[in-house]
Amino acid sequence: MTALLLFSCFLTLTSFAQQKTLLGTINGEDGVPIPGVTVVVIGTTIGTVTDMDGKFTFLAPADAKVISIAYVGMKTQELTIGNQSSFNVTMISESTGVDEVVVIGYGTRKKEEITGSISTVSDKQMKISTAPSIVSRMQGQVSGITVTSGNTPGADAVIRIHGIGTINNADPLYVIDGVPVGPGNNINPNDVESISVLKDASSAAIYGSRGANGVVIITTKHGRANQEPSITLSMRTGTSQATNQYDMLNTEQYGQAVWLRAKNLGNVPSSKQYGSGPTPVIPDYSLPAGAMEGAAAADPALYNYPDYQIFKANKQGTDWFNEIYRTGIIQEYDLSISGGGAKSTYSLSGNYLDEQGILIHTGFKRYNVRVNADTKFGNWLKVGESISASYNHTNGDFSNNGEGSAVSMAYRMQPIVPVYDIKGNFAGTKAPDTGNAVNPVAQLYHAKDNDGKRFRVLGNIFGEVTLLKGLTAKSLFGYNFDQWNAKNYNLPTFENAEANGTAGLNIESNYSILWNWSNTINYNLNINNIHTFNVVLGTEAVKSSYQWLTAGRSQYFLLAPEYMQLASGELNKINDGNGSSWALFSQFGRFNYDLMGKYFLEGTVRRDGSSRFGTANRYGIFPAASAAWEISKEGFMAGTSSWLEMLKVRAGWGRTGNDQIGEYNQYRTFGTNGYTAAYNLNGTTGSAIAGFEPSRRGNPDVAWETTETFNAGINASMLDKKLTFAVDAWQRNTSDMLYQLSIPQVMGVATAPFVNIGEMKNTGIDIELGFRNTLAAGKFTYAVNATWSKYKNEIVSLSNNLKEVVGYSERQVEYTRATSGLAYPMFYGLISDGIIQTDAEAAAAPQFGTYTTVGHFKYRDLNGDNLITLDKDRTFIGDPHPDFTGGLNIDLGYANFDLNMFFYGSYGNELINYVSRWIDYGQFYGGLSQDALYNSWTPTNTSARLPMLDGAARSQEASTAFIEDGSYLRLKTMRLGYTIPQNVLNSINMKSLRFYVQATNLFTLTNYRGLDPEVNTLSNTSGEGNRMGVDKGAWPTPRQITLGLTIGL
Amino acid sequence: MKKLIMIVATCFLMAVSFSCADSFLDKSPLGAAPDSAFYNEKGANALLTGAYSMVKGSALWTVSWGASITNWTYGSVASDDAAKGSYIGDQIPLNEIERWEVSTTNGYPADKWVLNIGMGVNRCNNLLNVIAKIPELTEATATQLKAEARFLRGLYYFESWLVFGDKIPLITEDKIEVASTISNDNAPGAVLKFITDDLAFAAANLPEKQTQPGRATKYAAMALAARAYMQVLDYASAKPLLDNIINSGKFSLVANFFDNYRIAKNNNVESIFEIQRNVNDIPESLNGEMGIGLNAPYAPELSMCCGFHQPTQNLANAFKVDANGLPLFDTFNNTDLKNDQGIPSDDVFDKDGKLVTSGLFVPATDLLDPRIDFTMGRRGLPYMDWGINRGQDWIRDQSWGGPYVTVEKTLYYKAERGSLSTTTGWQTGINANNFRYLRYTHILLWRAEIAAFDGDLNMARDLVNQVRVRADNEKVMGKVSIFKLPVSINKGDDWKKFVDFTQPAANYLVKPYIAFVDKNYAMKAVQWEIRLEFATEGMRFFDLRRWDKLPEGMRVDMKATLEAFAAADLRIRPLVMKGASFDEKDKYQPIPQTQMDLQPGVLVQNPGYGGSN
Repeated sequence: MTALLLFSCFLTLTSFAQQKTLLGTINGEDGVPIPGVTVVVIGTTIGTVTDMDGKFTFLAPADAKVISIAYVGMKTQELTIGNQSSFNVTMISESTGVDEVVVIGYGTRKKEEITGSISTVSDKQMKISTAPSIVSRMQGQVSGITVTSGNTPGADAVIRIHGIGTINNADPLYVIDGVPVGPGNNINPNDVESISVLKDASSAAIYGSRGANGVVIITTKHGRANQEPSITLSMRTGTSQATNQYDMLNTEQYGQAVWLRAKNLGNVPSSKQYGSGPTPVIPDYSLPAGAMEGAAAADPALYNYPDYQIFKANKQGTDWFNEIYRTGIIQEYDLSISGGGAKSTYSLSGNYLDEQGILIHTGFKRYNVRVNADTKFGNWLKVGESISASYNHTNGDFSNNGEGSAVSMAYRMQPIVPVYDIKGNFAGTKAPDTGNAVNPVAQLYHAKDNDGKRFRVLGNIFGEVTLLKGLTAKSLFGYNFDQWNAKNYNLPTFENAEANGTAGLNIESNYSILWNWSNTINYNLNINNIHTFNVVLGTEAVKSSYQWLTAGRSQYFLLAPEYMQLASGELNKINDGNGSSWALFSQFGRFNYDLMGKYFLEGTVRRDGSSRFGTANRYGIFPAASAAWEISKEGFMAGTSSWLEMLKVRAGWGRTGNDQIGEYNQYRTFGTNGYTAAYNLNGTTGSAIAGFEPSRRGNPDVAWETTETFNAGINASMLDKKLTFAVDAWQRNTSDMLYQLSIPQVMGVATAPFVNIGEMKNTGIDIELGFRNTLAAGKFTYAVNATWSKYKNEIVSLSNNLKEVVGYSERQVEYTRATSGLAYPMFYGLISDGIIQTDAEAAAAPQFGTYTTVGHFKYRDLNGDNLITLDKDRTFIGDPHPDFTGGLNIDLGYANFDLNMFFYGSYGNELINYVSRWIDYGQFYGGLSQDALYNSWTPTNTSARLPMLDGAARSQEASTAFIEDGSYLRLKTMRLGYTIPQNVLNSINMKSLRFYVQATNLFTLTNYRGLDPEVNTLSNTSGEGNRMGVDKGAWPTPRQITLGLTIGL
Repeated sequence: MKKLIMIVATCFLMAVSFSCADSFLDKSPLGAAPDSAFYNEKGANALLTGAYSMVKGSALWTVSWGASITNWTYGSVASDDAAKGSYIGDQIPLNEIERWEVSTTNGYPADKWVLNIGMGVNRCNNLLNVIAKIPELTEATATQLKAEARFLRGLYYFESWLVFGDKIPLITEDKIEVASTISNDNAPGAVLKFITDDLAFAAANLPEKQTQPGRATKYAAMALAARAYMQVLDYASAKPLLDNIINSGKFSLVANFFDNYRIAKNNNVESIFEIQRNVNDIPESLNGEMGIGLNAPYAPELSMCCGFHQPTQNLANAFKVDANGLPLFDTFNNTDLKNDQGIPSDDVFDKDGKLVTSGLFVPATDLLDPRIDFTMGRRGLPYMDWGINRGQDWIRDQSWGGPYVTVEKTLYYKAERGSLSTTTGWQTGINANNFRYLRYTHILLWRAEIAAFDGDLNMARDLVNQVRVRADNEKVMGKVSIFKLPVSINKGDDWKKFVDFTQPAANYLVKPYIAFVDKNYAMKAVQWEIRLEFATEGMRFFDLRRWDKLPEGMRVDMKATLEAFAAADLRIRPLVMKGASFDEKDKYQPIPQTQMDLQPGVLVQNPGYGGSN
């Protein structure tokens, strides 16, 4: 109290001294005036904040020497006053600058005080990409993270921080405005003010139990004190297109491939489509198969849908990719308003996004509103809130990276099949000898009314009390409500070989509610500007519950979507549902010590209790410590201070935990199950009697999975802060890794409990490098920011049994395996030593049954028995993990033009091209690639890439032949912008006006043969990390061209 | 003052949030019951139903096709009865089974293991432990529950034993918690004794008839025990059991052979133990029997999937009879019954309207046992009530699967579609047709086998003749008068215009044997009858295996039989069985490698599959 009194007396007194008026205008790099910039006389509290035109004027003491100009996210400038009284200042944005305030767990810290490994993404970086998901937009913007996204409309992304820390759910903890929930794809990226990525344990340990995979803290925009209301309206619109497709055979070539295959098999060529002559003959009709014009069976009078369809043969060949691809239109409108008075600030926004998919009949729409506000009562209480509501609407078939997706069906269809029959109904593989795929146009069309609707409300309310000088207490209540409703139609597909004749409907509905209540006390103490202490103590409770319902019916009198409701379905009246809930209670503390701004120490500890563990092991304690030394402030560094502004070394250690094993692991339970426990003892034909089975084994002894992290880093800033540099080296050891230990089946079959048994190790290096400069007297600006990351993952052990493996199979062939001593996962299979050329070579080769003949693969015999056996000759044959990944941002500005280019690349990762098994090897009789015909072994084409085209199952075993280099370099975005000069704007009373044109994925350098090397094969489902690197036919990355406009009022 | 209030309030909030911890973190599981809830009669019955559930031979995706109790894989595809069917790239592990080159990593035997030992035996043992812990059960109730549990345990072990042989761990209810330490390296005879002990207890304590037809009876236990003894040719032990069943008078043959495969005749007088199937209570009806879900015909008009389990030419040939209506034991496979391999369903013309390939095919006029056309779909004949079998167009890949359409015994009638077959999912062949796991004909023919061995030729003949006389009762009717089969033929009921339903579909003849000249002839006749009567029902491979152990003269050389089949099959399918050879090790499937790896030093591999680990 006394201090406060003295302080205000001082303020009052100084106003009587002699004064001079200082005034000026503060603009951003883009020339737009910045309101809300703090201008203050150094060493005093005298100053002001710029108005809406970026102008300031205030009375400064006559002896004032230097003014400081500061704004969050911008480089703080200190200007000597001298005789000047008018200042025109250009603020430079500072994403890696030294004075940036970084949001950390339960608080903020100046960047220079950071002791751990934390990267930030600014709102500006958030706008480089136009992906609808926040997480997607983080790709390449910070080091040490791996981000992959799907390409379905509105797709979300998967992020991995510092390698893959666990075989369980390896997602980081997300905290949005204090609420521990993920962003999903329904938070408006334009609302983001900053993102902090806490990569090492010393930063993340304040989140204890859930920090093991890193923490992503997302802060949404707030108004600033004394900020004139500002209105920003942004609009963009553009197109989205696929740029790539498989190189498939046309109808004529396909016939040749059928003949080649028969010849290779020693068969007389014959096909229901192409006849059985010496050469394939393209018929006029594919159904009736092989019929020519005039044939009785092709008489249109016979046509009777669905029993008697007639398909004309597509003689040129249906280009199935062309049929399902389209140019999608993208539109986004965003309005944000923010401002603030002396006591209160506000920020509100509305956003509408409409993204049509690159496949027909697919789309995503998002509506967002957000209101953030806070106000102060007196000088001791601050209350605030943040609330955002969003509504997502997806429609169409979003199946992705699976053999049943529309993309896969496009390569599984033969070219001879037309899209439509002679009467305009769909055609398909009902035509004999055309395989068993589903007409992808029909698939997408039938799903056009499938919709998913997500409604979400996320926000918090908080109160913060200043109890004493430097001592504040804050209580925050956060909540997240999520409701999902989906409706999926299953319409008859008479046109297919495997036809579905009954219409059906499935409905899903689920909701989740999460709330958290955190209470923190924050104490700051500064002793003589030498010792600065900060202490945070707090508690947090989190509770989440989830409930789901599904229902379905089949057989509908009418097939109109309006008619097809649950109530109108006639058969198979099914429903299902269940729920789950979990809770977490935590206490935590953090201590920071800053000595003379040179030496920094931090210690944190968190104690967490989780409902996921039994009472005995419920609590875990997660400590961390870190230190930093700003060497550049030492006297002995005086010699370098002319070019080296800042050099800091950091080191940290910490322990974090993971409880991501789902609920109820500790309980032993029995359950009923219609498929695996029911039996029809009554002998009726329509119903079974419910029975019970062991459903969960239970392990009350399971405890926290713990990750111990070491991290050391250097930050530097030099050449007048033009060059910035940060490097981190780290190691993460996960011990007591929760693993669902395989239990010998003789013990019974039930959900195996997780036990603390595995160990995983990740090591890595992250580098961030930035350089910025201006030329031509400030007219030309350029900046280059690069990120580079490398990690190495190793499963130290999965269990006590060294033979314990986790495999991933597709169509009965195992492609990946994870086991002790290797990365999670690795590719697994046979080694192919090329194609056998002569009978002598075949005789000498290790024998794989009768497969080992000319034109087939020569597989390597590993156990020396001269036989190929799947149990003894498979080994680890490839690695889906990249050697390194990197991002490169280039910003160029000239006068009112700006150009941004963002490159992203991955090097050294391998992919399993599973699609190849379909189109190169002819797994089923679907579409075939050009290579299948022209680059497969024949006696005259002995140097071909592929073995003989004969469909041999042994050629399709997982082997090195399916592994391809997945390295790529991609120009992810390129944007050219133009800002209307200020003098023009002044005349139309506008603050800012900017146009831009942006293109994504302009080019990709890669040797990968699939559609897209950037295939999202990571999964955020626990235990599914083992399918990494298996490309099963994913939506390709679209090229988007958008035009945008931003208006500031 | 305000500040003081705030400080107090803040401290209060902190205190509240510190103290709410313990009950806050207790979360009980939803929709699941603790095991303590089952220690009562209701609970025991609920667990018993769960234990029965595995006889379906399927358990959603915990297992898929390799676990089917019909053993269409190991008993039929691995034998000379049937081919994998479909095409080469589909279900690759089945190619290994068909060609007798199974890897220890093959997922099919692994399915059989987990369903029977992992789920079946474990559930029975669990139930036996629960029964012992319910004090209020009357002794009679407890005994009956126990008897059903032990019947099922015997059945699950029997199924495992058929496929894996003696190398299966014998786990009793008191060893349930240490099951993973129990070796599978059993003393000779131990597995059979374990199975027959369980079945003897069941036979002694189960009622002669149950009110619910799905439950095991005394006779089911006896019949299964008899089958177990038959596997090792222990005729002396099997005989009294079979006689007991025959003399009980409880069972008789149904009027028609195909009544054993009609849904309308589920649970009839011939049934001893049926695997009950039902549909349309859950999505996709996969509790029907998804284990045979791939085995419906792959014909465009039928909209079913996926054309697996196609009968072989060898089986078709086996149905040929001489002018006396008796089989051609030695010459049946010398020439192939006329078939439509390579012949398109309809004429194929080129661009100029010139005939390229004739679609003409007139079905064989040879004399045939009428059971052939209830067992396999031949071109040019009515296929149940589905239409005229159009041959090539009804087969997914004739060059891979051969000319015969998937077996009819597990199918349903078109008239039953939707009501007795599943209406959802892609395995639309799944239906409510029970699998007659043990039926009276089994008893009669096993007894005939013993009589033949014993030299009781008249008894052997009379028993076989009962079956043959019944086989003459019903024939596939409908002479087809069209020999090119455009797709339009089966539109609606159009096909019936070309079918004379007053005439049999082919030239059928089956006659009883007049006399068996000697033991060897008698045994041959019994073996032949067993093959024809139960063709494609998953027994053939195991029958060949046991007959391989008969004394010379009666013996069927399994290796020679199978390799001769493979060689002759190249006439039809030049690729599938090329180079296939049958070795001693192939008589049993390998112990799943994954389980070997999880129980190192405990499980040993079957001989010939390479080492113990």
